[in-house]
Amino acid sequence: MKKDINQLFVYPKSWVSTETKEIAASVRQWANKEVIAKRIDYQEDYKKLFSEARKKLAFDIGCQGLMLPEDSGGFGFNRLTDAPLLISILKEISRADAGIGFVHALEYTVFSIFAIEPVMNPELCGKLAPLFCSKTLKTVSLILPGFGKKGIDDPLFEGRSVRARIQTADEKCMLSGRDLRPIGCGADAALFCVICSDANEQPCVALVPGDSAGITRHETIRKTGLDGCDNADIDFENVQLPKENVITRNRAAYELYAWLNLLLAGVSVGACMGILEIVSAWSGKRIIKGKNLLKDNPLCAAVLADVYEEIAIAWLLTHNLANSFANPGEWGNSSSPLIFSVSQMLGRRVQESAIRAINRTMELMASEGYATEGGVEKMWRDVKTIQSCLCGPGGEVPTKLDVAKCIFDSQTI
Amino acid sequence: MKSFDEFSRPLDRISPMEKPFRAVIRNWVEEEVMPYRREYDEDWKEHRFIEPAMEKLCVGLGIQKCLFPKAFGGWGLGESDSLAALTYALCEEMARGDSALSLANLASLWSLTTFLVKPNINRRLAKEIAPMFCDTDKLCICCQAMTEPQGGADIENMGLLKGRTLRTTARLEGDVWVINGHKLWPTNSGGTANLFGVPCTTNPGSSDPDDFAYMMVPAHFKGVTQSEPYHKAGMAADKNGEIWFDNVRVPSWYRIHGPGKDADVFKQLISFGLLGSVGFAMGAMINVYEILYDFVSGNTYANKPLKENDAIAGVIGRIAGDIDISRILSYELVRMIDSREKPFGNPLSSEETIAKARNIKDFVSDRTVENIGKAMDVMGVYGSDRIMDVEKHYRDVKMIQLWLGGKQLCQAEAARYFFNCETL
Ligand SMILES: Cc1cc2nc3c(=O)[nH]c(=O)nc-3n(C[C@H](O)[C@H](O)[C@H](O)COP(=O)(O)OP(=O)(O)OC[C@H]3O[C@@H](n4cnc5c(N)ncnc54)[C@H](O)[C@@H]3O)c2cc1C
Repeated sequence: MKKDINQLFVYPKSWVSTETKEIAASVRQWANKEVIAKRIDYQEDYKKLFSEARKKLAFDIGCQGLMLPEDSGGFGFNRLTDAPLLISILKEISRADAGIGFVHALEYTVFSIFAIEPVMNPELCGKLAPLFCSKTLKTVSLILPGFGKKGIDDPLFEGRSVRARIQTADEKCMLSGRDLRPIGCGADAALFCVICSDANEQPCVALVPGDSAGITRHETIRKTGLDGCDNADIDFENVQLPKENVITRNRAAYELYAWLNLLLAGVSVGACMGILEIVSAWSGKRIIKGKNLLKDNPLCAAVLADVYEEIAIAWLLTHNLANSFANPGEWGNSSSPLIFSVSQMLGRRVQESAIRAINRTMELMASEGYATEGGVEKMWRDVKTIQSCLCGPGGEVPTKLDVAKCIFDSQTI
Repeated sequence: MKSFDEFSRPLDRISPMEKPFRAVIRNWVEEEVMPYRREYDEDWKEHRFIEPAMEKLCVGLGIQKCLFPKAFGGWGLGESDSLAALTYALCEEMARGDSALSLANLASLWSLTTFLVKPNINRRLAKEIAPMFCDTDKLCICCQAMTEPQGGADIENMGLLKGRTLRTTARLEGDVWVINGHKLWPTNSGGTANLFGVPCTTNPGSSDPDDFAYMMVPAHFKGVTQSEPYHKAGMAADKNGEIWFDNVRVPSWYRIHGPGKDADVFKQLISFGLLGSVGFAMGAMINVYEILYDFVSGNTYANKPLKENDAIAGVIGRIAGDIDISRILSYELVRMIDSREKPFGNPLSSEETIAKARNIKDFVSDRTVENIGKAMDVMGVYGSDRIMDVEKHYRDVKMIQLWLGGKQLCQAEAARYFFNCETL
């Protein structure tokens, strides 16, 4: 590809500031040097090189703790106006490795409910920031409401079962719940963020340090993709928490959904940018029909155009959403019913576009697309894992019903 | 619906052998595959779990000799009018457990169809090769090695390119063929195969069907080397690697038929490959249906089983509907192949059969990739968990869409036939 990939997407330039571009460029350098330039070794010795690359990104560039306030030891990118920056960073990381992007997306999602202005909670930041501002790699895990079991009536969050419970007495809270499945990173999280229900069956958000007594992590789950991000089911058995670790702010749980959808959209768009570069190189050298370059065959060229179209749409939707987060005065903040529904809708649409783009790329690359060495299949597995994890019980349905409730006032669904 | 066996099948047409045959294979799947299949991914290089299962199927149940004539110790399936029906049943039942295992088994039989299936039985070659497969208590595996580094699709695009892009050459010296070339990716390479079926050219660059040659090459012959297997997204029970033929000398009668007919039989081979592909896809989809059935019955949304929510029912209803329609199409392909010699049938090498077979494979594999992906989404955070046994199918079936020349070749061949295109 002769052109700079960032020049391929048409969007209002005001959406991405010069400062954002500069920071994104340094992440891009990291991606090129630490991952893309050594792709084959990286794949062969993945676990080791994944964590080496993560370390450089986390500490040399400062991506771990990026979103924490400066006075807590972070980098202070904790304003709503930083949403486009966060997206740009996640895109650049994930262009090289969506697994690393995913780890940071979970971290930033969880920080969004206590570290970002205007909901910044200095007490919680002061307590939790040291975990992330040290020089060791840390992950954050997020447990959302999800499936219930037949015959058991659970408290519900927009139809999803809330299976973690919090009990409050005096200044202490106690968290319980069994076999809870995090979105990711359950096996090694330094901090869990759990949507749970209180005594009135209302949703609230508990922040649980990973070393708290009463936490059991089950076996590491073998899964489709995101190989470096170890996940595990979690039991909380009467885990004691200080009261301030439980966020009871109205609609905090909704904010988490909104941020998660936005940030994971950034990850999948980034993976697709990597895909675009790979398929571009392939189609410019592979010969078909005995004589033509693949990109010069009209049928294949049309597929290439589809790949670009899906990515360009995903790119636009993601940046559009980031800008609405950055300008809460225009459409409401991330807790508003509209942003909650729209961010899920756009998030789902971005994941669909991303997986479609990669699927079509694999068509053109055939065995090379399926081989580990080709670099595409990993992105395919990673994005599919993200897409499924983002789905609620029943796939796209919960998200669609949230949209119908918000837009059409559907009431009994 | 009482069980997945109720997905549509033309009950008035299926062979009486199909039911007991399916029962035997299903039993083998339950005992030898289901308990171990979650370990297959890590076993991609060693095949510690995979090879014993194959051995029980191929040697224990005798599948490796099924195509050989009875006179040479086989079952004579190559002469049966129900060959496609039973092959399809075998592929589907096996792929319910693991589509790569099913692929490895079918690919082994695949190359043998070139000289063991009526009307193309080469009895001299059959007699020569039979002891390797029929008179042994060891696993014997064949590999159909057509793809070359410069591209697989062009070699399979016989309608247009007629073998012109083949670079593997065969040169006749007295009564031996000397073979030189480089193949990659075929199923059962990576050190597995005992015998290769190798399309080559006797005149590089020629599109004359007489110059297309198909050779059987035993793996232990001097000059044959194989690489280690490649690592890939799925299909761990199939090893794929590179093979080099360096002045390999095979007896002249190891060319399966001779000028003209080799090319014709190679086209027929493609139809058999497409049949296997829909069998793999269907087996995987049926297994995903079984798993999804339990999942949507036992897990809830809004405190009701998922399947009782109208919107979720809309999604899973479509998945089951697609499986049913794909099953109907698959049996149509079975019918086409088994009627190849009947007055109302068409030869397998005809443009019509190839276009229609490609069409069905393209449609069914698309539905499979999409529906298994959807099933993963319905299962949300559990969809990508190996323990649910769906995500592995997702990774495996993607390749069904891509091999045999890929999706675009399917589209081009359909257009060529249905619209009489002349340059595609
Ligand atoms: C698990 C697995 C099993 C396999 N088993 C076998 C086997 O048993 N035997 C064997 O020989 N090979 C086998 N292969 C290889 C496989 O069949 C080839 O990869 C496939 O046929 C495509 O060839 P290619 O990868 O070289 O892609 P290419 O031939 O380079 O084609 C790449 C893409 O170009 C496009 N294209 C090609 N031709 C046309 C056209 N005419 N018009 C428009 N677009 C076109 C398509 O999008 C195609 O996908 C296997 C591969 C895998 C991964």
